[in-house]
Amino acid sequence: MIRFDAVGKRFLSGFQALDDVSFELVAGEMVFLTGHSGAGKSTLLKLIALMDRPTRGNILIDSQPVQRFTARDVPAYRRTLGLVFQDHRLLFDRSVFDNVALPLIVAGLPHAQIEKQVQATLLRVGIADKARASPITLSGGEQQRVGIARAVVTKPAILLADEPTGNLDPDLSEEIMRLFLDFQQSGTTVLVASHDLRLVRKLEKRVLVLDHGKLIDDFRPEVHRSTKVQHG
Amino acid sequence: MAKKNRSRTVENRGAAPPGNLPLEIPVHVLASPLRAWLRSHGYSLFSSIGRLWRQPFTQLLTFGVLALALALPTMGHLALKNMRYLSAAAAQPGDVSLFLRPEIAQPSAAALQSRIQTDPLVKQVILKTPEEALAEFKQLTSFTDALNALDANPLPFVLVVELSRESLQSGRAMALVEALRANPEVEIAQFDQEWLFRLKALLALAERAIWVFGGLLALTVLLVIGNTIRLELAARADEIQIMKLVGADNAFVRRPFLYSGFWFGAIAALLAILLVAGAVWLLTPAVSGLARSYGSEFRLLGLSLVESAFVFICGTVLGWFGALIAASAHMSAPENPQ
Repeated sequence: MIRFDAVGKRFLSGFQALDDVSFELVAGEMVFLTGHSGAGKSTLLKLIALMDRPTRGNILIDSQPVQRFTARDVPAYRRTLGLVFQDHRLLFDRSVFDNVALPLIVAGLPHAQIEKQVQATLLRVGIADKARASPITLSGGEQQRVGIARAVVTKPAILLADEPTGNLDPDLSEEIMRLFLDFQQSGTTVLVASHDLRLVRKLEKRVLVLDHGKLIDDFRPEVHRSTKVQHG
Repeated sequence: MAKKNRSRTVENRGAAPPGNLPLEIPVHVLASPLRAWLRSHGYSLFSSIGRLWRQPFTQLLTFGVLALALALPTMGHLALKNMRYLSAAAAQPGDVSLFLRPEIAQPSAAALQSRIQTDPLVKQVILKTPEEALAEFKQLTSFTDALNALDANPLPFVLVVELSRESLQSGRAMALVEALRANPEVEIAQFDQEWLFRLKALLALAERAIWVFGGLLALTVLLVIGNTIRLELAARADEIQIMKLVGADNAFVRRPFLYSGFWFGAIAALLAILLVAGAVWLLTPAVSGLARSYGSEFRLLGLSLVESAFVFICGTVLGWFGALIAASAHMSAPENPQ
């Protein structure tokens, strides 16, 4: 589903954010991306979302090289992704409902269908009662649920999240992560960047570890369990 | 719940460009392109009205500037239109009054009359006797007592030469007047229209000045709206970025701003039309009074429906275009500067 072939990203400043990164995610997989801050987690996600372009190597999404997409293709491509951010990126001048409806409005869906889909999504992330509230009145955890609802309202095949629990306390963080697990179980390919190693280990999913732009570990718990080797 | 969706692939990718995208856009976010486009317009239309509606007073100054910029050349045009109308009304009788020498008597005057009458540029010649002239003079002025005090009629014979329409239009009128003036019987040849020819030249100049002035003020409207939209784009940069991240294309992001520009132009144009109508309404009694003192029934001409429509269309097109310039400049900036 997502494949990196020797991908490198060097910024104009000369900073090498990613260096020779190769990995593959199969459809329906849930993978964590960890590493110290500045290790290149965000850059990697941005390359997938075409918010930035690699300077070396190939990125293939469903076997198609993304560098072939022109600026005109990007909007349609983004509609196939769901993006979640650490700072939620909500619009505070409109209600929770309108925030979640945004991708559907962009897609030009009829109002009745938007209504139905947004309500269903809000129910699924557990904030159905907040539809008419302003996001500013919600707690951090609730705001992130709105962000997640907006990302999944189009039922994308790939869900990308950049430090979705960065500002949340451990209990809330786990609730949010369980939400991602739930979406994986519905068939979505999920890639979550997080530096919360304790939580990442607890969820026992595959983990990619970045260090100074290099991929230094690709840890699969099921393999380790079967060979009785404990990691870290 | 999303498991089966990707197998339900659809040939038509909705509003998406038909490129070779790796992932199918999920079926439930596919809308037919035309309907999606129409809905997007509806959304932009209402969101831009809503935005204006929620903060009408913050934009009051902008509307004032725009309305004035549109009203000023419109008023100039209106002033010109009224002058044209007046000059056309005054030009109707293209008369040359030939005041004959006092010693010229009835037979010579009549002879001159028939001689002038033969000129093809002359429509007709009317002979006025001194008695007729005196009677007319008494009617028109309040000098009746003074005139009665005279023991003899001081007025000479007058030939009123009506010039043909061709002579007035072909510009040969002035040469004809000179020829008439050269007659030895004529003491004074008075051509009322001489000033009109000069006025016409002046009005032509004024018209050009108004177009130049109007052009500059149109540019002002364009810049003011462009700048207003630019500020709005900057204030909503986060929203624009979020829109793009959820898959909005440039046209979708730009559309509400184009509608905003349209509304700015449209409302300013309506205000300008009201301003002009108000000015006409205020001036009409004074102008009518002045005209009556000259014995004229003239009433100030206001904006016609066509002229109002022209102002409105200019306003909306300028507003839309100003917004387009600002939005296009914003869109071409790099999306992800960090």
